[in-house]
Amino acid sequence: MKQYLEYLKESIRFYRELIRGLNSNFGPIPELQEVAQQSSDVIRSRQQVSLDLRQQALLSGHQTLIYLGDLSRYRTAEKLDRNPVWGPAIGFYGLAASLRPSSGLAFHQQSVIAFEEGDHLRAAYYLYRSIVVEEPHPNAIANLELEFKRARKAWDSGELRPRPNPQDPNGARKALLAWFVRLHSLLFQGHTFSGRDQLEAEVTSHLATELKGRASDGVLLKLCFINFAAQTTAATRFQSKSITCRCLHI
Amino acid sequence: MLHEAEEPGNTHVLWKTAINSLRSKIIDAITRGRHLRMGRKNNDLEKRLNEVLADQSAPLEEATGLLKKSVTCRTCKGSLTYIDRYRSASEDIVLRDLPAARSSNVETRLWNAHSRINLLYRKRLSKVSGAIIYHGYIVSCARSSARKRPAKMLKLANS
Repeated sequence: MKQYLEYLKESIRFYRELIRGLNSNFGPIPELQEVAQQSSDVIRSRQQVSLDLRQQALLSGHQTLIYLGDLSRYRTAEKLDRNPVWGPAIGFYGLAASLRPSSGLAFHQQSVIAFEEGDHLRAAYYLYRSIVVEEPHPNAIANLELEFKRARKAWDSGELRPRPNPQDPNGARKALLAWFVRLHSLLFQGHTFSGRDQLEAEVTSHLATELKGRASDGVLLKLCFINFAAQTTAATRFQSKSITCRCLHI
Repeated sequence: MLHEAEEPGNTHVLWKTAINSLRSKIIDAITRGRHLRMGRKNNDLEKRLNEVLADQSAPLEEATGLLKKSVTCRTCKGSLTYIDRYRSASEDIVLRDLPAARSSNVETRLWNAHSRINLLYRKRLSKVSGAIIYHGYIVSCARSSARKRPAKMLKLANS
């Protein structure tokens, strides 16, 4: 385990150094500068960097940030440190996402962390984000299907079901999130199910309570985003299915 | 009256241009040669590293020992492991000629080597041989051997 930790640390150091090199040779690229922890005076301005080269450096930087995120994620997932935290991995993925928001890769990797943590809402949110971008992640839909399957299983086993606890100040929010995930996990299957109206009413009533009680924050934005993205994804899936059916008929 | 080419200023400019062009051609040739050499070095290192990693059945100590096997670096006169040298050769190519590095997938190949070493460690730590070899599985298992229970497998399509 010590050797593995040493190997991961070395790899992280190497990729950080690579980012520094990319930034000083082809930069400055502001997002890379943040990781490289480099001031702009260090940047070598000996050559005029073409736009194309800069674009390639940006792609390399993005990919390197994903690698850094993955290495940090392994370190935490395997609990190699005394106090394993997801912060570094999330940070690297976040920087990668801000460097190239059109790519679904960073969002997909963030969903892997949420998946490992068992946070169904965050996993669904990041998977939807990795689907509705210009360059969607090729495995995002398959993984979303898997995530919702896991959520349905958790509901059936009682793990996800909200347990009323008047002493818990976050009880109402937890209930809203559980019902919301439950609704989406069933809707994703793409067929009607009994009790759909009641489930929707349940979510709406919890949402109303939450909206009255608290100021809007990140969670509500996540819920809105999931709704929009779910609709877009359902439409795309429906279209691709109907095209396949038409092709089969021909 | 002097011809234009015979004017001292023009001759100087012509000479300067010719020397500059020759100089850039020489630099190009040297750079190209260096890239070819670096490319060969990189391929050779990749091959040797793959050979080391190929023997998945070797005990962890032996496998990591091979990874640690040092090769003398002629430039820095120090000793480096295969992965160190492979990293450094790849970094050289990326920073010197990024378009060439991207077209020959230098970064992806380097990451693949990292992934294989990572897999080696995770597999050995999990003590569940065969569980991780399937593509597209994320296995959270480093602690499983310590807790004397099978690895927790999270099935995800290729992370």
